[in-house]
Amino acid sequence: MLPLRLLRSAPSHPPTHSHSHRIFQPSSSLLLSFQRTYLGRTDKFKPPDPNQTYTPVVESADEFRFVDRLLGRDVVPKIPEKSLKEYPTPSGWIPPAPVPPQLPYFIARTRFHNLPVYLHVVEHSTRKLTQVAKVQGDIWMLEKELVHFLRQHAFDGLVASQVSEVNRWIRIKGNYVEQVKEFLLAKGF
Amino acid sequence: MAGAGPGRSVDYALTLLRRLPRITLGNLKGNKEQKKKHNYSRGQDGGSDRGYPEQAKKGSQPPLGFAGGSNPYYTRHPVEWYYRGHELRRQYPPYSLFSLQRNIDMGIIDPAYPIDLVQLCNTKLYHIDPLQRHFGVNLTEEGMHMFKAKINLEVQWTTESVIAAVERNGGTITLAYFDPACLNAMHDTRSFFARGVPIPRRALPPENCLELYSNPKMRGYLADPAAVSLARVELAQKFGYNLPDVTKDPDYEMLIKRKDPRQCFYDLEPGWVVNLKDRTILKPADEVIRQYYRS
Repeated sequence: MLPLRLLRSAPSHPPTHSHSHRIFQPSSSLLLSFQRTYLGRTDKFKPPDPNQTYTPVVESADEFRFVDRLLGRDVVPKIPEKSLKEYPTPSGWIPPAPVPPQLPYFIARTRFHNLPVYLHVVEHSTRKLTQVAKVQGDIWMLEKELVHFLRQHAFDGLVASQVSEVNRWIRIKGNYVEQVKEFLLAKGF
Repeated sequence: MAGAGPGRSVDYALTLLRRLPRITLGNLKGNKEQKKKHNYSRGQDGGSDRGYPEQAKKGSQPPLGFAGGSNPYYTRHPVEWYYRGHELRRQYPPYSLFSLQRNIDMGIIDPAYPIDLVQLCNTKLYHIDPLQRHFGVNLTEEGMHMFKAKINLEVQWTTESVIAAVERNGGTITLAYFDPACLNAMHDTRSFFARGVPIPRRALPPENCLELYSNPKMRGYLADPAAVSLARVELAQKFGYNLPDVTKDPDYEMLIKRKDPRQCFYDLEPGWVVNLKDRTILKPADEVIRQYYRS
């Protein structure tokens, strides 16, 4: 009679401790249920029938000119001749002088052809600042002339100004937008 | 020995000081003995009778947000019903007659063609966002006295004075409704056409603004054209100006051009797909689809 230990060490069937040795043979019904669960319906993956999905169309290039009008422009358009000849325009726009003024400073118009004069309302509208931007050339001379011009409009004849030589702007304390525009238009900018 | 003298050590200390960070208000620290300032509660609702001592020690403080008192907040404050449903209301971002005239003067808007929301948004100086419940443009009265352009205008909201300012110069104006799907196509046409989806079919206005958009006095697009002609004369008499005869105008065809109530772009029909790459238009030929987009 063989001892019990020998019987255990030599089993008759192959070892089953590793999963790699298992052979997975699903039945056809199991495979279908797996596909239904994880892949959805199998007929979903059929290629679409072009006769069923695409409807007939008529291609036309004639009407595309209407689309061009709807697309808009990428650049700011030129000023119409009428606005350059008859000014001020109904909205009060005045073009710059045809010849740039002979002055040591120059102020360019914005891309929408307006004067770069802005009102900044800051600190809960307790401080109002008028800014003149796009100043080229002698910024200090412009500041001197501008302050001299604005003194007649100031309540006490005092005009506080600030010059940023690097950023090319002048700021004036108070709302003087209309007066500054008047000054610049008179100079020909 | 070098470095032992008092002069050298002073120099050394000074060079060290130059490299060390400076004492500033930012890196100063308070005294250890400094007591924290007690902020006294103020106002009617500030503070409570329950101070620190007994309750805090026992951990029986009232829960956060507990107001106390016998009069709850929803009976103490009056109700402001005029804000009711503000999150659902239609918004109309304003645009002034001054801006319109200035853009016409600068050649940004061409008055030779009908002006609608598409042309205003194409200036890039006016924007609407349909996702923010913007339903088009509100044309305001600012600059109506200097308004001189003769245009065919289509807006979504305006006043009687603006209508008078436009018609006084021989122009025409229409108040038209567009649903969000159309506005999505109109406010940025380039990206809409690039998507390659069909031009939507314009929906009819909802119930609460149907009356406005079929009102001849407000030049609604669903109003009877004969009633609109009569209202034009009435408004001219009310404001006291001579109404120019549109029928004798050389730009008559342009001035009376109108969109179909189901159309959102001039000259383009709903259901068409624009192919920007090949510069063509694809029109549906299927009868079911054509029936769907028909007005």
